[in-house]
Amino acid sequence: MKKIIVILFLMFAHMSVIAANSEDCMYSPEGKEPTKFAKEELSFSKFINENLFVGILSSGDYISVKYWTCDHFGLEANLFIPISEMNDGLIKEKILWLASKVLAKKDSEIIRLYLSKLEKIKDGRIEIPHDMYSEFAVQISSGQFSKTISINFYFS
Amino acid sequence: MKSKQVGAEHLNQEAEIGNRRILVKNENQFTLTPLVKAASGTVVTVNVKTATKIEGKVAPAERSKQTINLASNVKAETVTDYSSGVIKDVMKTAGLDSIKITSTSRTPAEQAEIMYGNIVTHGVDAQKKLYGASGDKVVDEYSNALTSKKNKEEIISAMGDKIVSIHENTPNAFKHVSDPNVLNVIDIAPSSIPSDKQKSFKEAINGESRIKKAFFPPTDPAFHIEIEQPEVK
Repeated sequence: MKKIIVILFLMFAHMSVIAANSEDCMYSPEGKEPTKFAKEELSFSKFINENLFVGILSSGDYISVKYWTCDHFGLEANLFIPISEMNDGLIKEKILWLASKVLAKKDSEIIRLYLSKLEKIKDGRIEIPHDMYSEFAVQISSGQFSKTISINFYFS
Repeated sequence: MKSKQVGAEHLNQEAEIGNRRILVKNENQFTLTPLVKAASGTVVTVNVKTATKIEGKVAPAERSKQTINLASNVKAETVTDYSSGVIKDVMKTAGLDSIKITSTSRTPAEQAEIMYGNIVTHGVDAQKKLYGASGDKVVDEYSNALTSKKNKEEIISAMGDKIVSIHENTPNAFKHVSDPNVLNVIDIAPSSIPSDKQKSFKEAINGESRIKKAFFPPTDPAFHIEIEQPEVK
C-alpha cells in the first residue's frame, strides 16, 4: 500500500495547489461538488490537500480530482484505467461513471446527452457546449497499456 | 523592467524605456514607439516641453504567424491592439503559433448580466454556494430586487451597481471587471497550448514586463493575465 501511495503522490505531485480562501476570492470552496463515491467503490482514497482528491478504485482504476475555487471556478478529474483495449461502449460507460461521481447532476446529464449523439468515441478532446463554463470538455488518451479519461471545466 | 536613463549622450540613439522604444532626436524631442507593434499601432512623437503628440503609422510588425482565437462569447474589442501585441510577443517567445482566449475584461453591467443568467438557470441556492462573500452580496441584490418586483433590466442594473460598489472596496473580488483600455484582463485556455509548450509559455509570461499580473495552471485552471494599457497623453 505504501508503494501505491508513493506512486499516487508522484503522479500528482506536479499538481501543487495554493489554497487561497481570502476575502478577495470570487468563488467559495463550499461551491465545489463533493465527490460521490460509495465506500465499497474505493480501495484507497485521500485528500492530498483540500483541493486534490486521489484514490484507487476497487476496479483497479486510479482517480484524481482537482478543484479550483478562488479566482476561477474549475475542476479536473482524471480516471486512469490500466487497460489498453476498450470498446466504445465501455469508454462511454467509464466517462459517464466519472461524470456522475465528480460533477453536478445537471452537468453529468449534459455529457450523457452529448455523448449519445456521437457515433464513435475516439482519442482526443471533446468540447462540450455549456451555458456557464468557459470550457467544458472530456478528453480521452491512450498509453501503451492504459487509457486516461479526463473531464474538466472552468469559468471566471 | 527593461529601462535605461536617456541623456545627452543618447542623442540619435535608440533605447528602451518600460514598454516603449525611444529614439532621441534632440534635447527636446524624442520618438516613442510601442515595443508592441500592432498592425494598426502608432508612433507617438512627444515634444518634451509642450507635451504635444503627433501620431503616425508604424510599420506592421512580424507577428503574422501568431494567431489569437477568441471563444464565441468573447468580444473582439475587449482585447486591445496593445494586449494582442503583448500576447503575440509572448507566443513568439514561447514558440506558439496559436492560442484561444476564453474570457476578457467585463463591465460591471456585463458581469451582472452573466450572474443574472446563471441565477435564473441554476438557482439562487446554487449560486450562493458557488460564490464567495462578494459574489453572495450580488446574488442577494438579485433576491432583493426580485422581491421588490423589479423587471429584468432593473434587476441587472441593481446587481451592476452592487458590483461597482464592491469593486471599489475590493478590486480583486471581481478580477474580470475592468476597463480593457486601462487594465485588460484575459483568460487563455490551457487546452489551446500544447502540453510541451506550457512551460515555455509560463516562462515567457513571467519574463514579460508588460504583464502586470498572471496566474496559471496548476495554481489556476486557466492562464490568467492582466495587461496594463499604456497611457495616452
